Amino acid sequence: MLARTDNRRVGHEGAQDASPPRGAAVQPQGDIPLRGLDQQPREAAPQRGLDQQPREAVPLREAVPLREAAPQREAAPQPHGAAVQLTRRKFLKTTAALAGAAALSGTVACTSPGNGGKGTRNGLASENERTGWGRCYHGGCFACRYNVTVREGVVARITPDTTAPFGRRPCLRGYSQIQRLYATDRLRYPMKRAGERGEGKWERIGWDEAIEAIAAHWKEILALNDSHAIAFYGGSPGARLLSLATTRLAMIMQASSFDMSADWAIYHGLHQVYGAASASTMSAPGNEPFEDDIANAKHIFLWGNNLSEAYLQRWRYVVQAQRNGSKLISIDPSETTTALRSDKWYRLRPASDTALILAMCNTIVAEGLQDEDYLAKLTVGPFLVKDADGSFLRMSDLGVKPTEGPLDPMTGQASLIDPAVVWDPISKTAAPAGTQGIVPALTGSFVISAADVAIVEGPAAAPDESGAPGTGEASESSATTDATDAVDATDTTASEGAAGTAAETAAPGTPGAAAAPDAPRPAETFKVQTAYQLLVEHLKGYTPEKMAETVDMDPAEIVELARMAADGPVTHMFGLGLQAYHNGLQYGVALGTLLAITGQTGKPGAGIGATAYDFPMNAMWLFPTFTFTNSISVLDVAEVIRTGKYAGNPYPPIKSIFVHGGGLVGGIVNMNSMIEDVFKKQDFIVCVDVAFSDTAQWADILLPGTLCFEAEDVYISPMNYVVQHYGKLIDPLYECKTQSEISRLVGTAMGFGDLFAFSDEEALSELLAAEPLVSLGIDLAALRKQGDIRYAPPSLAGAAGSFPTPSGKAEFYIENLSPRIMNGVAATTAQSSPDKNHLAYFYEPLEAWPGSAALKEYPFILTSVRARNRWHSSNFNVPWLNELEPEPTLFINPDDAASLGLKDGDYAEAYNARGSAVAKLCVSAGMRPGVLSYPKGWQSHQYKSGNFSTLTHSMYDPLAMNSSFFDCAVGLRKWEV
Amino acid sequence: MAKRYGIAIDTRLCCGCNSCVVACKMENNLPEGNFWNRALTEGGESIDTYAGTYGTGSKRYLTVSCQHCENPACTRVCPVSATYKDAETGVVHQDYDKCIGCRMCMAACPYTGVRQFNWEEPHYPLGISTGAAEVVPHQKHVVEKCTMCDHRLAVGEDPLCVATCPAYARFFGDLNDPSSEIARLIASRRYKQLLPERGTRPSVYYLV
Repeated sequence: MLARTDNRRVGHEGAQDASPPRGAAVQPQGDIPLRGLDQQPREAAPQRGLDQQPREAVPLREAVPLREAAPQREAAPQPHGAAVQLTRRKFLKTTAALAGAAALSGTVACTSPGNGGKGTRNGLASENERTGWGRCYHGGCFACRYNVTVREGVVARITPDTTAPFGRRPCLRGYSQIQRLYATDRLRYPMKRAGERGEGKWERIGWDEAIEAIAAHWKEILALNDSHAIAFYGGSPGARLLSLATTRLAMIMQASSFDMSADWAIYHGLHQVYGAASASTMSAPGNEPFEDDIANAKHIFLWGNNLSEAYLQRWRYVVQAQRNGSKLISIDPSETTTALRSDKWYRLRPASDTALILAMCNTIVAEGLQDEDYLAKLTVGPFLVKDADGSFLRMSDLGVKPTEGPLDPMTGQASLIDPAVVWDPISKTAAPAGTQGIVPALTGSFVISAADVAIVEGPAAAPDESGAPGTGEASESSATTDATDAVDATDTTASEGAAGTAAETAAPGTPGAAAAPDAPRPAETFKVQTAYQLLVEHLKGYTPEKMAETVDMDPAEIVELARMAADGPVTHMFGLGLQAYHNGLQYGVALGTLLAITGQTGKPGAGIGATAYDFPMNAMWLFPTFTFTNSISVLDVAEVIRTGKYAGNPYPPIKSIFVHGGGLVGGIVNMNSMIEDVFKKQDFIVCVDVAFSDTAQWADILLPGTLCFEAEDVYISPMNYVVQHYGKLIDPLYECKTQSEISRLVGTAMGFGDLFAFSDEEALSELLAAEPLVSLGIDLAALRKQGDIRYAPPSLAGAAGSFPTPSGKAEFYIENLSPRIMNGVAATTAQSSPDKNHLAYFYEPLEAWPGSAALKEYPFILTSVRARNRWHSSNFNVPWLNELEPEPTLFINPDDAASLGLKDGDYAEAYNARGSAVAKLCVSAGMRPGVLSYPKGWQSHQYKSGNFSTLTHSMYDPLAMNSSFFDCAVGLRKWEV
Repeated sequence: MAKRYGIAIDTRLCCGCNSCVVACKMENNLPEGNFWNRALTEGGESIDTYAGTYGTGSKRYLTVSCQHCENPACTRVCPVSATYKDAETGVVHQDYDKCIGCRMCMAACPYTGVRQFNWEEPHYPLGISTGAAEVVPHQKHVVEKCTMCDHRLAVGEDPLCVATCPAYARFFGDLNDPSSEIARLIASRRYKQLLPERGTRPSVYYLV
């Protein structure tokens, strides 16, 4: 059967046999989905004011930014429905506010539909048209470039730009940007709260009054409190350069800043293994550009990834690769469109992905499919780990003094180089990791003392060109995975005879060994094993048979997956749902481990295909006073406010929050707690937004921000090595102001005028003043001409033979797993204990697991999908999109629905102790039994009742400091009005 | 030889994203309630749902608009020749100025929903017009439908639903030209058409 987007059925077969008499009124028949039959007659749409001055056409792609725009007309005709909409949105009913709204609305209602009359063409004179480049802005999406037509001052049309990089074409989110601009509930002017907080009553005020109010409140707060009593929170718009002006303000003010704490668990896990040049970028070892590289993959693993909806612009490359022979492997609890189109869909229990990967690793090692060359050269596999405390044996343990390395730019201190120790099975000596010419043992247990350090004389050995690491016994033992065999006491017992004599250990070419110790060597002996040996041992607990029930898969399927994962090149692409559980960090560590043992980086078609890339920017612009914000996770804020303590120390009471373009209410977990425990405790809340979002509702002062066609800006895309330019296509509508302008006004009012004396153009130029942009001549002028400029050649991640980790190796054995944010919750109190943290391991999530206390009471696991028509919470107010999918929905398995007496189209309420949400049920056989899924992004006023964001909890793994959106148990019942 | 413009949709690439649907809505300034092109889910009862049982469910997306039939049912029943087939291109047109709103064409067309009747004055919730300047204004009491973006064809551009498909699943061209991409696709791939038994000979092909 066919389902229309509006959920009404459509019958292709539904022929209409009854021909009406000519001229007679036709009644709606059976199946004919004639929209509009049930609609009330409407008043005619308003005529467009024809009083506008014609504007000069601006040549295509020239002279961006396009400065021309519609003059603000004060007395334009009132558009249809404006006042009605305002009332519906519970605006304050003051006549002044309404009159203002009506007048302002009129400025955009200047092209009324059909006003040209019969026989004419829209009546839209082409000489009043100009076209320029525009692009979306959704943080983390692709910022696709397209052509935007501005007609009589109004953004009227978007068409594909066939010259756009990667041939990207606007998707439905792109087209929706027109309606976001002119949305009925677009914020139009500054407002102040006129009723109770959250009541939705507002009074229009001027910018001067708004800025004065902010400065006055903040000065009052700062007179009595530390600067951290004021907190800033920015959503994903924070990556366009001009919005960084707000970051600059927060840094200067030494405010608190709230860390979003979403989607981080997996990246923090991957960072532990493969490192990160910048800890604040969600990077992973992935080849750039993805679009070209993916074609090289033999196997593409899609872990919980509904690419075709969530990341549509990459879908075609994956499908193209499939057409050319790549195998698509989807691993997902529920059947997404991506799973449907994959060569094979493997169904697993939600939150069990880590267990699956470890069982795959077990199989890979058991079958000898590991990449030993990679393990020996590029990972910590050969590093010797002390039995005593699990730390790496270092050359200093054997009496070799650390050497000084390069200066640490943050501390100004020289770094110390104290290499880990590896075992050279040929010379039977201990050597610093990285010594050229040796192939260290990958497996084995040893007893080592200073006497085992090799005496190296003369120049370093030739660079290692051996392709066969771990020769001899070590190699054999690794193949049999029998660690005890590898303990070769005769080889490795410390040789007394050598003690004290092997003073000269300098190995030129190996920095750590360059300086020989003067003092006699310590006589201490160390029982050690290689890190890989420990991994192999560890993996024995994760056989496919043992994990079969945990992951709810056939062991044979796990073996199948393991063989494909080792049959490269393999690209792994994950969604972010599978890490939105309490155990999400371990997924990142496990995936890093899988990459390491299969050697899947540094070659075409291998690595992580779901990554951001580090990007260049002059970050110094953000802290001109060298003062900084203090970052508090959104998951911690309620507790900090409640206890007055953070990281064990007293923390100033947070009195005021400045939210700029972020869904602090509803966009993150545990919405009710955010409202009750955070927002209601504030003296003063300021929101910059573009629409009446759930967060905006709670503001005391509401400021209207701009959208992406209204200002020139630059985005240094983390999706590719490309700098992208936003041309200004129209002046900001109504009284909207850019983030930079708002920051400038607030900063100046707070007494930092000298630090905010820059123009937007100057700010962009300063932020672009970073290498390699400067050397390449990538400045504003060049960007205005070219739109997109690549700043680095395509690259293979890790091809240089090292990674940005402390050791330069892939550290699947993690010596010290550091918390993502030091919030004072000791690592020892984490779910995971430190000894376990060295290697990836599986543990059960808090709620979303069979037998959990929560699931006993509330039997469904609630998950969400990134809806194709939203980006986070943006686009919720776009009529075109809401016509297609008009209300919140909840997907459920048919058997689950039947067991509750529910059917497709029923309204049902998901509930737990934290909250509830009512949505229309979509019964789908694609859903795993016991799992519910909702498309994300609806705002509270669009629900019949509640909000899905009230159901999730804010508990966290202190190492990951990540929101566990999916680790959520709910009950479900029919909802009656 | 006269052209016969057609559209082919690769159902293995189409992921039901609705980008073509929204692009059409924007480009043709469609009023509230009207969609000339729709992405239908062939599966469960609601959009995006699967039929069957977990693990072996089935779902397919079909984007459906006017099929610009070679042998259209609509043109034969129109009492005023408001709907007619363009001899040069094979595109089925609808002339709003001639249309008397009798909806005979809607009754005759076997493809439910591709033709839409404006019962009321076209309504635009945001009060703005969008799309190509050349699009003919929408009118009350007339039937309207997909024009195959004739305003774009006139300047050598593909229909926007084709030009915008982010999955690159849609193909446009002259079915009568054996060297065209669309003709070669249809010659080399298996395809389906909607209700072939009605004898309408659609110009829209679904590659399977």
